[in-house]
Amino acid sequence: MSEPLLHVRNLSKRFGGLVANDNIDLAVNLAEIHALIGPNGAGKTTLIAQIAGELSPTAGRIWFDGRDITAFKPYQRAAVGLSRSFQVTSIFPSFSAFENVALAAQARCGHSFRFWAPAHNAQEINELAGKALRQVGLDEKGTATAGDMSHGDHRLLEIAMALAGQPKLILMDEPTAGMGSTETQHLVALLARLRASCAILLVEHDMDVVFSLADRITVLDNGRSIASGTPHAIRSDERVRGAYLGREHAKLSPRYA
Amino acid sequence: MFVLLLVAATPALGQPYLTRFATGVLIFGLVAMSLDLLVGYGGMVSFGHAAFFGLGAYATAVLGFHGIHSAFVAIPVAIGIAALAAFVIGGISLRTSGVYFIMITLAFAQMLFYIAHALAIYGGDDGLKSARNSLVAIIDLNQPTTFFFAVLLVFLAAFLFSFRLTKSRFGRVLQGIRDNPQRAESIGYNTYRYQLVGFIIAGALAGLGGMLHANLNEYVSPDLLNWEQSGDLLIMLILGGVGTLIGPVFGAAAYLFLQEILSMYTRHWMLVLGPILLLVVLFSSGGIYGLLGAKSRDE
Repeated sequence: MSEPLLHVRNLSKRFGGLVANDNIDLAVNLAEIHALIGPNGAGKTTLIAQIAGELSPTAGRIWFDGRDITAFKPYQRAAVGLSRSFQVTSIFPSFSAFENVALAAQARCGHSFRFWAPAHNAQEINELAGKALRQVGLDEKGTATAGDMSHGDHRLLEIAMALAGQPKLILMDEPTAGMGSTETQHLVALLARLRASCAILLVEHDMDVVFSLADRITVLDNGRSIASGTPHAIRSDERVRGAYLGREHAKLSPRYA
Repeated sequence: MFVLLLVAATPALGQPYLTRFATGVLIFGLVAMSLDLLVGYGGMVSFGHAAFFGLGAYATAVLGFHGIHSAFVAIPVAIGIAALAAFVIGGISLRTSGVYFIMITLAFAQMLFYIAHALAIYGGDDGLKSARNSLVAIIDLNQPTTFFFAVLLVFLAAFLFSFRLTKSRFGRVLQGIRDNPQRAESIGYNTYRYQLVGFIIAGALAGLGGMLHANLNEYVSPDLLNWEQSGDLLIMLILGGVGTLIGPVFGAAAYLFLQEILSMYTRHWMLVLGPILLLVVLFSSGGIYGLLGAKSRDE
């Protein structure tokens, strides 16, 4: 079996006395959609933040694409092909949608200590940005000011920005948060299409989304990884049923207000 | 643009006083514009921008004190010293943000202010007289009109540079960091390094403005480095319009005009400036430049 693309080993994060992540192992393979699920407070967002480099682990190591990236800063992780999208929309509100994506693409087109030539004339950047916008279906709204766009479009813009960085893996923190069912279906189809070009580590509460997309699922509970396997194995895992699915089984699609 | 032409035509009026006033507007406009690069485009609210302005001025006067009067020396030295100071001050201040950033930049500028105060050899709190720089033999900068056009040329070059900067890849990154530093970092930018370079560029431009100012007044004093000077620059910027680049020139013009007119009547002219600033901030987010823009759209 080949090396996984992302390999997390014995990762722990403590905030004072609170153990948010306890000895977590996780492996994401190339071109795989790997879902990370678990009840609120299970430690999913803490884990994503550590993989993205926004939090530094108390213990454990993270390998990505054959490199130990445990000590990498977030911008260094982006440079080796690790993108992320945020749970709470995080964009450049005063930029146009296209410029948002272009700025993300620009990070992968050499250094940006270029002070004279207009950025909007850079062919390479514009092509990458245009492609990413087309992939999420926002190509018609490129000139709109990002801050004025709808919530659903913000979610798509988040993903386009992650894609424009030419990632090998995207960390997606609840991409469907706050979306209606039509928008969610649209997004599921989009993520399924992306599978061919990059791996996705997906944090998601909507079980319909998780089970229709995920190749593998890891379940967190109380900061620990309690199971990891195919959707089929997870569905029939007793511990998972007890810890998570059982509680919310009656309503498989919890929505946020 | 129309107003700039008007300013450029000032010497035609044949009033040395007005020419001198317009020169001052261009110099402070240049410095306030450099502050706009920081505040408006970089989201770095510096309360110590006078440090670089004052250093540029002092560099020029000190060179003159030691008998070096060529502008070809004074300009690079003023810019270089201001840039070096910005590298050190920015390097430390940019470890923080928000209110802490404001306070640290202020603290650094005040340190330089007290150093200038204490430097007896360069006049201490009396300041230092300085002769006007020379350019080449055939151009006499002591001619007010000639000096005005020299300043206008420098100003236009600085404006062109700043304008291109804001549209460049670097400018786009800087504005992205202003909008959302966390996201800028997560898509792959070393935000600290980009902000530091932005800080150095703005400091260098302010140093250039200081060099011109030392030439205009033929005198420098520690007050150029004082926090009040930093405050004045911020007032010009806000009056003129943050994030408009050319707006600060209008801000500088309005500020210097009010200072000139009102201080004829009262020493407490700031009492009038205060409410005006308040009105501009409350009713025009784009400052004077925003008001002008809105008017021309209505027409």
